[in-house]
Amino acid sequence: MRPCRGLLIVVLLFFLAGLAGVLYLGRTADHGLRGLNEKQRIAAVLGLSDPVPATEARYIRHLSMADVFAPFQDIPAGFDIFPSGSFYSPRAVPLPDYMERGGK
Amino acid sequence: MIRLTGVSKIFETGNQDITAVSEVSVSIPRGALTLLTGNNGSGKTTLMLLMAGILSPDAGRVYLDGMDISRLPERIRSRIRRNRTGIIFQERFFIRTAPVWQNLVLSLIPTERPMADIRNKGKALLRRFGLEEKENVRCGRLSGGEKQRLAIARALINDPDVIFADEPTTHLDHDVLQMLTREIQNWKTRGKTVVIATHQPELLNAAGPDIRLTLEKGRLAREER
Amino acid sequence: MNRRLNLLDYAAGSILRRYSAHLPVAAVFIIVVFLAASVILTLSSLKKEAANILAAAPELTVQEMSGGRQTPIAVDIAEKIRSVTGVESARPRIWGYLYEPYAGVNLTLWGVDEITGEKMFSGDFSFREGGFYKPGERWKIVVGEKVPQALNLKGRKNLTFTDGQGKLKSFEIAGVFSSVSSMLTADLVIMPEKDLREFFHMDKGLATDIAVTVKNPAEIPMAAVKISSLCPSCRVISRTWMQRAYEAVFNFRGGLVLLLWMGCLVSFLILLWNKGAVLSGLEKRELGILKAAGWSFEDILELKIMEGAMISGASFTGGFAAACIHVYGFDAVLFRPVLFGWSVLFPSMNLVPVFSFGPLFLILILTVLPYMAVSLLSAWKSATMDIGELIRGEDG
Ligand SMILES: Nc1ncnc2c1ncn2[C@@H]1O[C@H](COP(=O)(O)OP(=O)(O)OP(=O)(O)O)[C@@H](O)[C@H]1O
Ligand SMILES: [Mg+2]
Repeated sequence: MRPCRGLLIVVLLFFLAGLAGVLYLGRTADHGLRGLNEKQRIAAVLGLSDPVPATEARYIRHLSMADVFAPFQDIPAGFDIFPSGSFYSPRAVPLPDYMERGGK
Repeated sequence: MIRLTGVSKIFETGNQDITAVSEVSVSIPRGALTLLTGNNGSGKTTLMLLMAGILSPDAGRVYLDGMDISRLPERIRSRIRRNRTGIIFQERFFIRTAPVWQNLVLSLIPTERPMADIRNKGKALLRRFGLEEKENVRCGRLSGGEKQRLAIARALINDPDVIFADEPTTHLDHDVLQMLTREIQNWKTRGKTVVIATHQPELLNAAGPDIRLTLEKGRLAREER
Repeated sequence: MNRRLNLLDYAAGSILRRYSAHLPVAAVFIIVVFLAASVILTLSSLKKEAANILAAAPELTVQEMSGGRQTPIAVDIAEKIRSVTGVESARPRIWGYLYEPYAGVNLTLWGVDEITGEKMFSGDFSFREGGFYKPGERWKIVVGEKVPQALNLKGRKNLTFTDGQGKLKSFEIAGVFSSVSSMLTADLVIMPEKDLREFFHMDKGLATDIAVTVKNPAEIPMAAVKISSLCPSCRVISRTWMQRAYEAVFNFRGGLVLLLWMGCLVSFLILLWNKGAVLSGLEKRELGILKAAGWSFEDILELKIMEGAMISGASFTGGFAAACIHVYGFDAVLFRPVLFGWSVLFPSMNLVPVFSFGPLFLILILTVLPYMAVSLLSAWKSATMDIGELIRGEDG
């Protein structure tokens, strides 16, 4: 019916947005829950204690290894100061030659 | 019945006040056709808006069927505008981006009538004024004459018993003018109170006016019955 | 009821008619909600993720300290720890890091003893390719989902790592974990303990650390104290500690982003205020026309509330839906650098939706409420204005 066309469009947009969100949630929730269970089992069998949100910073990858404070950095160019060190890769600063074994 | 007693309206503009309407007292009986004439800026529009309860007078009283509408709260005045009066504004006052049908039925929207009903009513009126093909056109796209016809139609959408028309004859071609004259006669026979402000009273002689009012600089200069 | 519907219809039409006037505000609205919801959803899911993994992690980790830094620990200590009351198991772990200079990536090498290897082999875990190596097989590895890609293997199964003495050791990939467990395994290279010892040149009597499980949570603090006194050079890290550390890290990161978000919010509010405080001539005219047509103060107020609710509701749902898609569908890709820092290798997160209603409600309040307030304010102002004034507004 014509008079409600405008209303319909707006309401439709509403629902499409909501639906898209819910669909994504549903899809990922299933996958994710399966994952949660699996991760827990792997962690239990292997005795792992840390998740891997990112791999390069100790204070996020292996908290179980983190020192209470770190007076010296692992790489001369690595900023071990939070948060700088977590935003910038030490590769942003040229490494000394002997460390650049991989060389690029 | 419309009755004005000593009505004045003063507009405050920057440095000087303009007395647009000054101490007008007049009484218009129910079912009468009144023509309001006068030069540009003589206060016709202002007087009409006062009668319709859109403007409030600075002095005097405006009565509609014995109700002092100049003292009524806005809530009740808006109900009167919605149910009892129809106004054809001198400047058309349309929502230019809205379609013709929506502009036409504005006063029916905040009512309990279902939308389908409202639309049918709008359609019938548009047909009566030869605008049925423009139903979904945006108002801004209408020609001057089409706008004028739409303005007349809009004033009738709520079956008012008092109709105010401010220069309804501008932009109209001969045929439509005849139609308007017939329309006005029709209103009269159905007992509607009609007030028309016009610069061309001769065009409306055929409709048979009952009262002729002439304004001069806001004052009521002549009153013929 | 019909009156409401008619008004609703009119409100919807009027929004669509003037969409270009609403678009900038709606766009900023959506962005503001999207940013905040993305951060909050990511963080609550990550906390859940960490908690989930930590729930299965050993209750205590015992590390040997020497000169204030962590060093390999004697395997014998595990025997002593097992005698502590409450301790269920004490398992020496062999693991460490390998920096692969060619790819510039850090990998976590993880040794697996025979019993664990068998459990992994017979367990029902999902792999993207292959599976766990057969118990007893040597120089076979199982790697995390992102490792082949990070090392640029292009489907090759054999690879070499350089050990601490500069010698090349070759390994064969037996399996690659699926993305399902990526948040736990992304950078892992799992191999038999024997091989890892050889690769690390670690003595038989040494391990990296000792993972201790304690069944009864009430006994954990006591066990930790006892272990510390058994081995004064050891550092005992408890699981709750780590859990708190993760929460702190995530909260800190989230706080950082939300701090930036505050700026966004403030500009949004200023934009709103600007829009709401000054009625455009066109709007004034429209309201004048409505009033002249007999719309009452309440009608106009209701219309404006409906308009505001539709726009803010649609913007909020839109922003929130976009955030859900961003976080759960695209692993919060826009926020990774800020939330997790730089990384050569990011796991597929496959986050599980966790709704923390508190923060979401806060976003709702911080965005929808001001929007409604401002539209109400402008509606109030215009609804109380004299019609004469509205009609004689700009542009006739
Ligand atoms: N809102 C207002 N503010 C200031 N002055 C006003 C306002 N409305 C009307 N006036 C002034 O009041 C006087 C009367 O105006 P009005 O519109 O009533 O004249 P009119 O007789 O309808 O003229 P026209 O024949 O041109 O339509 C004019 O001088 C006009 O400038
Ligand atoms: Mg006039």
